[in-house]
This record gives sequence, C-alpha cells and structure tokens, in this order.
Amino acid sequence: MAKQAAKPGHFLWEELKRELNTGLGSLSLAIGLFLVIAVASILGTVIPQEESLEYYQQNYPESGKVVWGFVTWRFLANLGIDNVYRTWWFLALLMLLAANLMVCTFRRQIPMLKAAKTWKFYAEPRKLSKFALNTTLALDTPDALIAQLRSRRFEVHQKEGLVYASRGLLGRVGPIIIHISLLLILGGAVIGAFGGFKTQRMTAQGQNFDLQKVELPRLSLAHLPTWHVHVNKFWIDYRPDGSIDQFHSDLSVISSEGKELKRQVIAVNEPLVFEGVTMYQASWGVNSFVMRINQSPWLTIPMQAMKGGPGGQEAWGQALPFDKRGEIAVQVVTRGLQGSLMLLPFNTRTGEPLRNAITPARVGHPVKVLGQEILIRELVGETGIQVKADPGIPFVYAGFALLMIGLAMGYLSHAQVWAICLDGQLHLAGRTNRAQLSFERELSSIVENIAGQK
Amino acid sequence: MNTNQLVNIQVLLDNVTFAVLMLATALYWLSVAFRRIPLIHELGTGASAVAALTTSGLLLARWIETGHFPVSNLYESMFFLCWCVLVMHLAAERFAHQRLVGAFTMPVALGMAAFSSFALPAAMKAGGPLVPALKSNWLMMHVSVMIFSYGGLMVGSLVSIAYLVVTWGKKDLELRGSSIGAGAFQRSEAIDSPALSFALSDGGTTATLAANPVAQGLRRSDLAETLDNVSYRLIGLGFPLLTVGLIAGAVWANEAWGSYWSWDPKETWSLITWFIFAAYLHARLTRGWQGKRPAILATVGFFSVWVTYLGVNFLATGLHSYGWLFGK
Ligand code: HEM
Repeated sequence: MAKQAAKPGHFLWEELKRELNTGLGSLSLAIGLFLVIAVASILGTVIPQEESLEYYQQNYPESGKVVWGFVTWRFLANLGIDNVYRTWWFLALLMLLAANLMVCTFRRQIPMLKAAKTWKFYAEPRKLSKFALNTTLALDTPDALIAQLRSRRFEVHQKEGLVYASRGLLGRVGPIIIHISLLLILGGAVIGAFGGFKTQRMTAQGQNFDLQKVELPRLSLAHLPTWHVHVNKFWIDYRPDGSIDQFHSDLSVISSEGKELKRQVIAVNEPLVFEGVTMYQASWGVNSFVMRINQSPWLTIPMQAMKGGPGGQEAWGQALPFDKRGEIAVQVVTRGLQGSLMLLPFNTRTGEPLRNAITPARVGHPVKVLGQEILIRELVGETGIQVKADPGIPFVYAGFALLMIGLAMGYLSHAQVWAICLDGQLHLAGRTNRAQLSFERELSSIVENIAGQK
Repeated sequence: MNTNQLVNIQVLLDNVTFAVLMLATALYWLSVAFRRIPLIHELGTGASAVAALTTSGLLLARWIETGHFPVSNLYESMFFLCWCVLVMHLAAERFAHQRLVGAFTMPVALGMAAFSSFALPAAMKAGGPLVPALKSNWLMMHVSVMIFSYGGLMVGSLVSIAYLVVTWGKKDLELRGSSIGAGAFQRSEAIDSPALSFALSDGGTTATLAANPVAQGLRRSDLAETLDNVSYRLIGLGFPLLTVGLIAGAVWANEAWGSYWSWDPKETWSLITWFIFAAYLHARLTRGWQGKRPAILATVGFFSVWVTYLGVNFLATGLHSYGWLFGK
C-alpha cells in the first residue's frame, strides 16, 4: 500500500481525500458558514429587498447623504444585496454548507457511529484512571455493579472481571439523522426550484385563467399544464359586524378540448389540487360594476384598487364623467362586495368634492345624483389565486418528519461505563456526551449503593 | 365567572406577578452577595415558583376570557414568554443546584412582566378575538412552540452569560459534556483550578462530594462546568423546539398559501437565531472552541432571540404582519 501511494495520481487522490475530510468536511468550516449565512441573512432584513431601481437610487444615493458613507445603490446592486436570498454568492454559500454537511455526515459521522457501536473492554486500571470520572473500590466481584447498571437500563457486557456498559446509543444516531434530514430538505428545495413553478392570477368571476405564460427561472425543468381554469363564481361570507369570515372561489379545470376535468369550491386553507398543481385562495378584489344612468343600456365599468381609503381600509373605485361639458365627474367607491357604495361627485378641474351631492347607494336600488338616476345592478368580484407546483414537497416533508425524530433522539445522552476487577479492587470509570451533571450524580449514587452493600 | 371578574383577576395577578418577581430578583441577588445567610436562596426559588403560578393564573384567566390560547397580542405572548422563562429557570435550578442561575434569569423575567404591565398601552393589552390569519391550529402550535423555544434558548444563553461572568479573566477550561465527549478525559488544569473561589458555595454540586465520602474518588463538575453543562442542555432543548416551531410554521405556510419558505423578516430572523445556536452546538464539538467561545455565541444568540421575537415587529413588514393574504 505504502508503495502505491508514491504514484503521483494516487497521491493526489489521497491528498484530495484528506482535504475533503479536514477542509470540506470540517466543523470549523461549518461554524464559519453558519455565521456568514446568518450575517448575510441579516443584510436582507436591514436593506429592503426586491424594490425597484428608482427606490434604491432614491434611498441610497451616490452623492450627498450616502448611507454609512459607502452604501450606494450601485454598491447594493453589484453585490446583489437588493435580492440577497437569490443572489449567486448566497446560493453558493448554501451549496457549500450542503457539501460540508454531506462530507461530514458520510465521511466522519457514520464512521464515528461505527466506532461508538463497537464496544471494547479496558484491561489496565491505568487506562481507567485517565478518565475524568473514575474511582476505585475495595470489591472482589463486579456483580453488584452489574446489577446496578442493569437496573438503570445499561446494556452490560462482561468478560473475566472486565465490564463494559453503555446506554443511549441512539443519542449518537440522532445527529446523523438530523444531518441526513437536512440534506433531504435542501434536496427537496432544489427539486422544487427547478421542477416547480409558482404564479398568481387575478381573475374576475366568469373569466378564465391559464398557466401558459409563467415566469420560470433559467434552467427550469418545469412543464406547464395545458388546461385552463374557469372562475364560475367568487363570493365572500361576511359576519354580522361586517368583517370577513371566509372567501370562496368556485373553480373548474377545463381541458384544452373544453372538457371539465374537475370542479371545486376553494377557500382559505382549502385549496384545489389537480395534477400536482395546487390553487390557493390568496387574495381578492372588486373587478367592476354594472350600472346604468337613467335609461341607458347596462354598462360594465372596471374598478381600480385605491390605496388608503377612509380609515386606511381597502377600497375600489372609478371616476365617471357626469355632465356634457366634462366639468363634473362622479367617483364610485366601494369597500367590498357587500353591495354598499358611495357616489362622490367632484369638480374635474379643481378636484373639489361637491359635498352636499355625496350619495350612498346600494346594489339594486336606484338613487338620484345631481338630478340623474343611477342604478347599480351588480358588483363583480375578482379572486386572487396563488398557483403552485412543487415536486420537492414530499422530500421536504419527509425531511421535516425525519428531522423531528432525529432531534428527539439527539437529546439522549450516550453514557459508557468501564470496570476492571483486579486483586480485590474494582476500578471504575465512565463518561457521557451530553448530560454530564446527571451522569455524575448517577455514577456517584451507583458507587454509594455498591459500597453500602458491602 | 363573567368577563369583568376575569379581567379583574388578570389585573390583580399581573401586579402580583410583578411584585413577586421583584422580590425574587432581590432575593437571588442577596443570596449571591451574602452566601452565609441561610434560606435566602430557597426563598428566591419559592418566589420564582409563586411567580410561575401567578403567571399561569393570569394566562388561564385570559384564555377563559377570550376562548383561545393567549398568544394573540404582545401582552399575552410576553407573559407567556415570561412563564416559559420561569419554568425553564426552575428546571435549570433543579438540575444544576445553582443559586447563580436565578441572579441572571430573574431580572429578565422581571423586565418582561414590567414591560407588559407598564410599558404597553391599554389598547395593546386587552384580549380580543383572533384575526383570521391566526385561526388555525397549526398556527397556534407554531406560535406557542416558538415562544417556548425562546424561553429555553433565553435561559440557556443567560446561563452562558453567567458562565462568562464566572470565568472572567480565567483561562479556558477543557470542558466535558460536548456531544462527541471530547473532554471526557482528565486535564490537569481542570483539576487544579476548580473555578472561582465564590463558586464553591454549598449550592454547587461540589458540596455533595464532601457529604458522602464513599463517592469521593469521583470528581464532580465545578461551578463553571456546571453552568456550561446546564446551558448546553437548555440550548440543546431550545434548539429542537425552535426547529419544530419553524417546521410547524413552514407546513402551515405551505398548506395555506403554497410556499413553505418566503424569507419574510421574522422568518429570516428565526433562521438567523437557528444558525447562531447551530454554531453554538457545533462549536462545543470543536477542539479549541470549547469554553468561552460557545458561551459568546450563546450570548449573541440571546440578543438574536430578542430581535426575532420583538425587533422585527417594529422594524419591518412582511407576511407576519398579515399582509397580502388576509389583511383586508
Ligand atoms: C444546517 C446545518 C446543521 C444543523 C442544523 C445541525 C444540527 C446538529 C445538531 C442539532 C446536532 C446535535 C448537537 C448536540 O447534541 O450537541 C449536531 C451534531 C453534529 N453535527 Fe451538525 N448540523 C448541521 C450541519 C453540520 C455540518 C455541516 C457538520 C460538519 C462539518 C456537522 C457536524 C456535526 C457533528 C460532528 C455533530 C456531533 C455528532 C454527535 O454528537 O455524534 N453538522 N448537528
């Protein structure tokens, strides 16, 4: 073997293997990565993420009041700090952590577990005296000790006056399971990133949405469904006090030939799942209203979300020109789909509201505004559907389950006790890896008990 | 009992908790300052147990009043956190036989009670119905496990801070009780320099050694080692709880809106805390990293837990401010 190592290729391989163990698989690298990733993540909570370029140019200018003297928008953009969690170096750090974890688990921990499993006797009392926890008793048989250890659920092996006992080996298995489950979760996340897709669709009641134009990352392997979805109905349940109880969307999945493949009413926490694609009730809005003025035909008029309605609440509205000269318009505003609206006439040139002409209205009830009769027949809602396909989920969930099992096992403390009975003396030593204090107490009560039985 | 009575009980228990915690803090500090005077320490423990009971009563009254587990606003969750800290403190003290623990944990518990009873405006204290976003069992489990883990991690890192204070100016000891058991063998320094002089009080485990001569051959952990191990066991408990809390949150997020991780600030900070304590756990395994350095990491972790718990609510917006999804 030694001669073969002289071959340059083999030597390189050995070198690489050593590097893998000490470098890539090392604990110091792991600790360093934990801390660097933590600091990088802090950046993303301090600097607003994924805002527009103008936002950064405005808040992180290059001249004048430069934040901390060097944080300019160009600096942020160059380092990718405007989108830290998706920037290449952050992902590279995560990959490095995964590699670190993999090497460490398979090249270090599993061999370590094997070593912990193979029990061995110590035959020389000198060896035992090296343990921090050791003592010597005047006893000529280990029987009392063995009985004590057995009653404390130790697994005891003995051979001609030599004793080895251990308990809680699962405590050594726990971290390995923890690490493997973390790899499973990371793997699931990668599968999800490349094999899945995610998008949002705002769709009015009665309309369709399809999943043909979805923004996919480069290298994506996701294939988009050819079917589309028809929103049969969208409605909101209100409580008596006017607050929202639940949102519902009645959805049909329609094949490209026009056949209905599935129909379901979804609500928050009750998504529709079809061919690996999940559709969640996630948002809503008011799309439009249907009205007429005097005896005009029915008009469908779109509404826009308005920021900061009265009391900071959501509202939707649209301004309609209201007289022939275009001097007066009426802003139609509603807070939701309950059917009550406000009609707010205002002067188009000055923007002044005409206060005494402000009129509340209800769907289905005609009202008079500035001498004209307005009838609003219907408010049309739109539903916000979050669409997601993530083939990595089974791996992530399996990882979660395994992780919890590993964590529970990893709290156990692996305790080992050795004894040598020689010339009327019982030499005893023990160690544990986690619950040091309880083990010290346990060992001294064992010693007291067997000394008391003498 | 009607709502009014329940509210009165809460006001009463709130004030009593504060007063008892003040007493407990004073007693623990006195017991450290005057080690000879008997019983102060025991009284301190008694006071912290009473505070744990009054906080339980307060939370229970709130639970009955509102009909949901009391973690729905800052007042409730802060008292729940205070309760968790007290429970972890009592467990740590039982486990460690150390009076020093309370000198560090009680002021923090007192601060929590003081903040929730005096600093919060009345509107933020009152109980009320749950916002729709919190109406989910997964979510309630997520929130309560998270807060429980904060309790464990806080007490664990406070014990690490105590360790740093006790070993101030001393060289690092080679410590035992790392999960690979690296320090299980004797080191001459560790034997010859058993901690601080004031550490060798009757509260330490060292005392039992003298009490039973039979077990004398077995060396017991000194104060610094005891604190180190208690801190390790508490963080070793808090870390899995934090992980379970994160998992519960991830599963809920995935079921409710299809994404188990979205880098919102609160989520990110809990991950930062998670990484810091992972660094702590792994530092303990590394030769040359035992003793003070993990304790410093735990100290950093203590502040990180606070930022995770509180800071983010004031700093930023995100899903945890119940935005896009349900705010309307
Ligand atoms: C996100 C990443 C990681 C997490 C959450 C994690 C978690 C854990 C936990 C909870 C333990 C048990 C600690 C204890 O009981 O003291 C542990 C042990 C351990 N970890 Fe990790 N770990 C991670 C990454 C790594 C990496 C990258 C390495 C390798 C360099 C590593 C090496 C070890 C070792 C050697 C142990 C001790 C095993 C034993 O006690 O038998 N870990 N880890």
